[in-house]
Amino acid sequence: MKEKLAKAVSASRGDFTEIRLEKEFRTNITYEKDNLTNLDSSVEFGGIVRTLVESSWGISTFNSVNDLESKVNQAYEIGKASANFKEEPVRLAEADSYQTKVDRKFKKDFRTVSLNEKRGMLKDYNTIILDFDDRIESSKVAYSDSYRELTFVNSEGTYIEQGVPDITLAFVAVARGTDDNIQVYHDSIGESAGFEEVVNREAMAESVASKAVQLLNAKPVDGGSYTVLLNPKLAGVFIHEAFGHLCEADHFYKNAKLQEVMELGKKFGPRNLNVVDDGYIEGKRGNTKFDDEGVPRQKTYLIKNGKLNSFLHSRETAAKMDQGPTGNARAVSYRYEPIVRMTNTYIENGEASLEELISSIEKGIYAKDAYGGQTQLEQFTFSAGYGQLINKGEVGGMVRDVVLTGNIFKTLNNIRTIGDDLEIIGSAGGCGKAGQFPLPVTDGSPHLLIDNLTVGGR
Amino acid sequence: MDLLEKSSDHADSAEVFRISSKSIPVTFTSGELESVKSYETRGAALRLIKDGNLGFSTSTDMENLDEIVDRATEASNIGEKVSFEFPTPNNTPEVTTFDPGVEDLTAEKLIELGQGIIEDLHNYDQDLTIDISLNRSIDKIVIRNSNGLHEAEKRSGIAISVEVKQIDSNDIFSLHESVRFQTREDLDVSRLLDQIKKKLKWAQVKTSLENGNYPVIFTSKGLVVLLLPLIVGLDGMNVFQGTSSLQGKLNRKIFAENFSLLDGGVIADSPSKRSFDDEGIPAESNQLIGNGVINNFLHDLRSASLLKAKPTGNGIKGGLIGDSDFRNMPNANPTSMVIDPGDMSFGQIIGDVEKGLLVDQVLGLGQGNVLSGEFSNNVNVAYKIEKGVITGRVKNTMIAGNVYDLLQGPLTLSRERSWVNGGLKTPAIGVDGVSVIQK
Repeated sequence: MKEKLAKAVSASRGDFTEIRLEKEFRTNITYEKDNLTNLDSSVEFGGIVRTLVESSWGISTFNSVNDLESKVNQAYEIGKASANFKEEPVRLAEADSYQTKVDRKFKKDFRTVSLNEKRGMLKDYNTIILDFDDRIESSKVAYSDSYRELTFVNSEGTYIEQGVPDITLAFVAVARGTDDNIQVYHDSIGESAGFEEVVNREAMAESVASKAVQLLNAKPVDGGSYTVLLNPKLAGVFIHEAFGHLCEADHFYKNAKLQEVMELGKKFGPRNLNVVDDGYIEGKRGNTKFDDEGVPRQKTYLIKNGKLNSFLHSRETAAKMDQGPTGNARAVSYRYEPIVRMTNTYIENGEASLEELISSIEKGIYAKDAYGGQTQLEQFTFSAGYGQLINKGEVGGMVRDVVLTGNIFKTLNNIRTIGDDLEIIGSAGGCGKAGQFPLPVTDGSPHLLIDNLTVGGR
Repeated sequence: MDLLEKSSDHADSAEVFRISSKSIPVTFTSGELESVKSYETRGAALRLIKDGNLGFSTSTDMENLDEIVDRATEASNIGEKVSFEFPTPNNTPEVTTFDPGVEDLTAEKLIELGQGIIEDLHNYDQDLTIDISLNRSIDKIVIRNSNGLHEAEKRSGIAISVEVKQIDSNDIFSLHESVRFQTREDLDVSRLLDQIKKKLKWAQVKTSLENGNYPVIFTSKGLVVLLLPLIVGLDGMNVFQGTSSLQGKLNRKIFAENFSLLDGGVIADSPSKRSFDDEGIPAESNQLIGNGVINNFLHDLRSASLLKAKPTGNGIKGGLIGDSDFRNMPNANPTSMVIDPGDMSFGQIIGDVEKGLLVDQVLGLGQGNVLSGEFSNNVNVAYKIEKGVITGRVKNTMIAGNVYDLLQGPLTLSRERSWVNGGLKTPAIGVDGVSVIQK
């Protein structure tokens, strides 16, 4: 295959050409209540060619390696056609070339576990949730594993083979009370690891069922402005959604006005706020030892000592902004070209213990766990799994429907205290951008205390 | 030997779904051409039923059929006990789903179309930041099963989405509009451009609204806030499992008299027509809600068999109004949805509001407890209405409410309707008593 790819790249009439092949082995198993609604074991092969013609991209995707030559040609033709319309030429930042093979370490290879064993494990978890309480109305238990064999080659001499394992387990419990009171709770894990990660998760199943039942008696939160203590899981989602996306240079590399808004050195938060995107932390789901342009991973400080320090780049955005590539050009599969994405993104530890944080709160909400979030540049929103009211330093009753919103330029500056208990968390699902979903990422933070966060509510 | 014959040797019955897709996605970023792509994919999905158990596998490797058959067989040995059978041949409706004119749309034509949009909007305001994605797609779908069903169809589509941003040092306003067409003849971006300019005009003044409960008008586009929980509630599988708030409410009147909702693949002017679903069930027109009464749910083969109902042509291998993705199992999903219009004009509806909000676009769709019908969203495009007039744009504002409460009415529905999100034809709808929080 190596020769075949090298030949195809050198035969390209483009000024720069790269090819990425992907073979994925995957399993998906889902129980919903009493039904095994998905049991899928599949293999998929495909590839993508990207070529620069007169400084304009041409891109072509395919499913058969026999099409390689014709697709290289097709990418060239498309690049040529679009070159007539291109106002500003694409340039790529310099990158070293590598010839290497990277395999992730993982303990128990899930490809050696039988479909029946995986199904049996899932059925047991499902039973734990359904049998937990009479008020549990339904459940969803979903397992996925995927092993992707990636081959990347470009016309600058880079040839990289990577093996990427990914495994997820997600639990959802639905509890039903009186008067159509339906409450949902979910939790999940996602790791770049082996089968060992998903076994012995009975406690997580019980906890999900228990929380769903508890939520039946929780009151909806009153809308308003609050001091909010975010637990590490929710704070991680917050920093990913609200700030991480903003640092992706493809949002503003062609936009002078946004670049003014995102001026390096600008104060974004308190002096002890440090935000990192790190492309490799052992076992973490966002790991990208080499990104999908063959650029090695980096540890990038997005915020250092409260000031905007760096952006996330592809080779194209880096060249345009006269900065270096950061190893953040990622594609969700062979069907897509790489775009600027996060990897493992987190807030570094501060100094406050959880007890100190709680006791410092006169009146507020302790918001825990996450349903997800969405951002549109300065505006962001993210939802907690549930909340607890805090009054005079005491944690009290459970509240539900806690959805938080804010303006990132104000909210980061409203961080009052940063905890000392950083957790970097992978979950099932992933990050979505420009139609590319779900990209494996992790996010993390210590406990975070923020003033003046708006909470929606009735 | 073809895949269906090969599979039939290993099972009591089998179904093969094949798709080949060709599309040309074109993107513009900050007003400049960003990328052009030729996207081709072909894949097959195999479902087997053996001793009543279902097995599933997918592949893109058409040269190695043994592997997909082996994998689906392994799955069927331990798969779900199902009580449905693959359908026998049935008459599918005559609908036009393909236009060769769409296939003739080249990358150059799409680029020119994008440039035209940018030029028009820059003529309106040259400081606008404009991102566009355009795509033309041709899907060829073939479904065959061992009960003799053989359906094939080509579907064409043109999808255009535009995001405009107004940026200054302490405010970013971002507005998103999209359209979809099935034929070249329908391709017309003038309405999309008019909508953008109208909404930009409304946004020229920034204003605010004190916390409280207000009447809220959802535009056709904004109405997805209310529709999303409702669609989840109408999903036959959720009804069967008791996770739908609509369980046990069939044939009961639970919404306002003037609220009627239709789903179907054959709705005449829909840009997402199809003559059969992804299980080969003929598309139909299905009155889900008629004058406030729940008449039916969305069903695929599985949910229909579990609820002893008739399949409704809603077995779709994709998400909400999504395209068919062969990698997924079919689920009960909408095809195209239409809400009946009202008798007031949009202007009259606004004119009747003393103080309230017009909501066009939100962040965090579907994040709340959708099963209970709850929504809680940041409204990133919303306008204040005062004494019957739109007076400016609000920001940093949350709305919250419950769909099942609000749709009990009273509802005001506009005469005017438009297709949004690829397959929803909706009027603007006004509801009363939505919580608005602005700090």
